[in-house]
Amino acid sequence: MKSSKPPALATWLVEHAIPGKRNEALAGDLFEQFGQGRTSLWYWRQALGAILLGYAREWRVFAWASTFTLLWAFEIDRSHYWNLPGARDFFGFGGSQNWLLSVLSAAGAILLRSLEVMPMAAIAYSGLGATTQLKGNWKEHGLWPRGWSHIGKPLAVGYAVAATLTLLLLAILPARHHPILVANLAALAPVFFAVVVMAFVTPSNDTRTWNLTLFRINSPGNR
Amino acid sequence: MPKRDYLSEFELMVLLAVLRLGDEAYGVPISREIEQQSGREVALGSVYAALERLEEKDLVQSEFGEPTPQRGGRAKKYFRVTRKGLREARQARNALLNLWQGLRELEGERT
Repeated sequence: MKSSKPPALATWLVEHAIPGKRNEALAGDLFEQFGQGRTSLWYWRQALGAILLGYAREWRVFAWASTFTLLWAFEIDRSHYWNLPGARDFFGFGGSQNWLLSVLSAAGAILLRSLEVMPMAAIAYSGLGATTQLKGNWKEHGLWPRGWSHIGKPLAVGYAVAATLTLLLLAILPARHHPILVANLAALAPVFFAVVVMAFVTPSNDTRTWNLTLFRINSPGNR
Repeated sequence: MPKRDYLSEFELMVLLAVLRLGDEAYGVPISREIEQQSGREVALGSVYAALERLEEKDLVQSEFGEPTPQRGGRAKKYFRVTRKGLREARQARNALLNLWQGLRELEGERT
């Protein structure tokens, strides 16, 4: 028997997760169609399709900022986290450390790789905020593309320029002068410990991969 | 020649559906009209995305109606074609008719 009410979660997503200003009308249309005999599956398909379309459109609107962000993220990753002397050995690829150091270094590698998200998010947020502010229609967009645009044009653009210059500076400075690393390590400490805990409880006999488990120490190839 | 922002096929279909529906042009009948005329299933989200683009180009205008219980207390958003929209539709039709003329491969066919 078909429910008389449409899926509540899908309705909530349509009303809250789609960028732009058409959410109420679209939610009403879906509700009306559901009342005329459409199925829950149809409702979910329409809702998810509308959300994807909404974000695809946002991506197109903010294409330059998104592309700029990705390029920067790649550059930061390339220049700081991966090509440091000895980084690949230290982070568990081809190293012959004991199990504890191996676990810690593998977790560190994962963490360091994930750190690119932080500067990327900073640039994205400031870039998107500046773009939205310059277009003069920030109130029409969802929360994430607004960035800091609600603080006004001079500050929004100023933050974007400051973030870009800061990251440019970070990219050309030697790795030991990498202040953002310290801040991110502190912020991501819980993630670090979660990764370490996961490493201890995950059994694996594959000696080709990182030494992520306690079992590694007793495996035949390691005696 | 001035640079023109051409309508996509789907935008043109939505624009024509709004014209055909007159005062009753909101999301549900618009998508239904396109489905009936084209024989293809249409996602409501894509109809609204096209309407939003048309509105940004000043080819359609919208206004909210009264909330109704059939829609869970949500209002309908009615659309109507602007003068600029009418002009664009005419230009698109003329361009398509000109392109169609003299194409023997398409003569006598009706799908």
